[in-house]
Amino acid sequence: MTRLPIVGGGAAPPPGDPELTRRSFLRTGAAAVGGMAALAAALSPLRQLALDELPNLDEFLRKHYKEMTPAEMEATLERIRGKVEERYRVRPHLRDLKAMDGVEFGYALNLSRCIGCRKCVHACVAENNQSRSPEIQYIRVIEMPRGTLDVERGNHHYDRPTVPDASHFYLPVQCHQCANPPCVKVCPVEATWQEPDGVTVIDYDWCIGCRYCEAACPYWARRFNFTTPRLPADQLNPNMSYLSNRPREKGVMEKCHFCLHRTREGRMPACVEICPTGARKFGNLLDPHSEVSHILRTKRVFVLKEEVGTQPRFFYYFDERYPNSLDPEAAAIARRLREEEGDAYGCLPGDGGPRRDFVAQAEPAWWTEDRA
Amino acid sequence: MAQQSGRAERPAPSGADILRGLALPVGFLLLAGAFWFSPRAVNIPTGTAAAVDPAALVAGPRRVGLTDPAQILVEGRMENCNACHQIFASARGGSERLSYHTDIRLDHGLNDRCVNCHDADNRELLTLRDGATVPYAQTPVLCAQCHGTVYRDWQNGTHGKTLGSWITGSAAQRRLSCNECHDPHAPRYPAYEPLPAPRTLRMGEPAARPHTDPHAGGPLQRWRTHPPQAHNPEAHDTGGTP
Repeated sequence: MTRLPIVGGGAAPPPGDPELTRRSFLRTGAAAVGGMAALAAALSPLRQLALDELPNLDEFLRKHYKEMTPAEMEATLERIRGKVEERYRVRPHLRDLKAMDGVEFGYALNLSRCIGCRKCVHACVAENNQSRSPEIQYIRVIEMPRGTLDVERGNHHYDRPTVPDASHFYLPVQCHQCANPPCVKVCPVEATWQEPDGVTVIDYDWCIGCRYCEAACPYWARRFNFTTPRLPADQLNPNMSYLSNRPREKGVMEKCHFCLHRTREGRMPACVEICPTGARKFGNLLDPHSEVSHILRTKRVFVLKEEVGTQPRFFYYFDERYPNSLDPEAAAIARRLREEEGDAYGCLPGDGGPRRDFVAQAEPAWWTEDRA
Repeated sequence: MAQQSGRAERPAPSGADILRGLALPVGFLLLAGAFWFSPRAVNIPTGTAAAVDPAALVAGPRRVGLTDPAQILVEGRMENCNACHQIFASARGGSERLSYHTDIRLDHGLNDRCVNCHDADNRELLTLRDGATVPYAQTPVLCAQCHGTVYRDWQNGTHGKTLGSWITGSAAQRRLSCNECHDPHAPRYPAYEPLPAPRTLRMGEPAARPHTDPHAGGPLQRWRTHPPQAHNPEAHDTGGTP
């Protein structure tokens, strides 16, 4: 039977005990002190944790977004409101907007019209409370030589006095809200998922910052908060929702969410409203009369990296060549369209123009009522 | 029994014993020092975002088109077109230069006559090719005479811009008219000054141009823009046709 060594107490160790000698005591003691010092040093970065970075009990015991009852959701929203108010001195209009029934959002972008002015990039930053330092942007506008479509050779740092450049075209890329999203598959904690209206969202409170989704995304659409996001209080957009633009913390992912706090109330995303050329189109794919549905039916549409099977809800398209009297080929196409397909619009002034009755008949009712 | 008598028989510690005894505490202390003096965090560069003029980010029509009754600014006052034009009749279809509306730059291709679009008798109306007149609010009907396919696309919403709401038929939805984006006298879009380039952690600094800097970009991009052959042709002989 082994007797435990007795330390201190003035009592001498029993004679014959091999466990404790002066030497072994010193050796063990020094090792223990050294070990404690090493542990303390390893934990020392914790000193830099500010008190407000530590989760309180409510945050620690919170549930996943999909498991919260309305009451729990309201309590969570109230906690976030308080936090935002404390940090930015602004009371946010924060709510949790649910997907609308019968709606699947789609986005279409006209590459014939985009001029690469980057207004969408900065309107998005202003709308969605991204960090200004370091800068985080959801939209990346790639400038590529005309006649190519090789994003590897594209340049998103183009800096010209004016755009567009005649020898280049511009391809803005943001989250494509895939129907088969690789980012959702790789998330180990289900912090990101696809909503019923087709938008892939992130619960910033649930994300552990592993960045698997960033690596999985073939469109370079996800952004990581490497540092605490810095955002001047006067630039905060107080119109927020839980799954979209509420302020993020350090160590979480974020990305484009089709401005859910706007679009789930019927409004347009910020990038669509700011676009000076109308190259950006947004709407309900399930509505056959929506702008995006018309584009999918009648335009030459493609998706980026179709071969990877992500099935994006973000479509690029081109305009057809408009009949130009100086281009005999285009004139011939227009004439053929008119004869074979009865397209009253695809003709030239010299050919008589669209029939007056056809134009009058085609006027949308809302348009004449509004303006008469 | 041999163990019990071990204490008395223990020899004086040799140098190796002392070193062995010190190894653990010294190792721990070195570890502690390494933890303590190692950098606290990765130094993440946090540049400040380039300032963007908030005026550049106001959504709305690009320009204001004429509405009914058509008025323009004359000598600091808004005046109806006919207030002047019933006094000063202008020639029909003439090719003379504009004498008053000097701010108008007419750059509309072959369409270079005022009365092609403006009604010669009533300057507050627009004229169609068949002689009918339409108010300014129905400018798209005028434009449709020549730009038929664009007009069709505009009606479907695939050309032009819709503000307010994505819900088809919503009261808040407003589709901009032709002349709220295009200047009818010079319809081609002007060049824009682009807003600042990204300086994000994900996209890098503007200086790191993938085409000129061999160390910029990811491995694939480096390989593609600066293939190994360029540096050492012998090492990667493709062995192609002579």
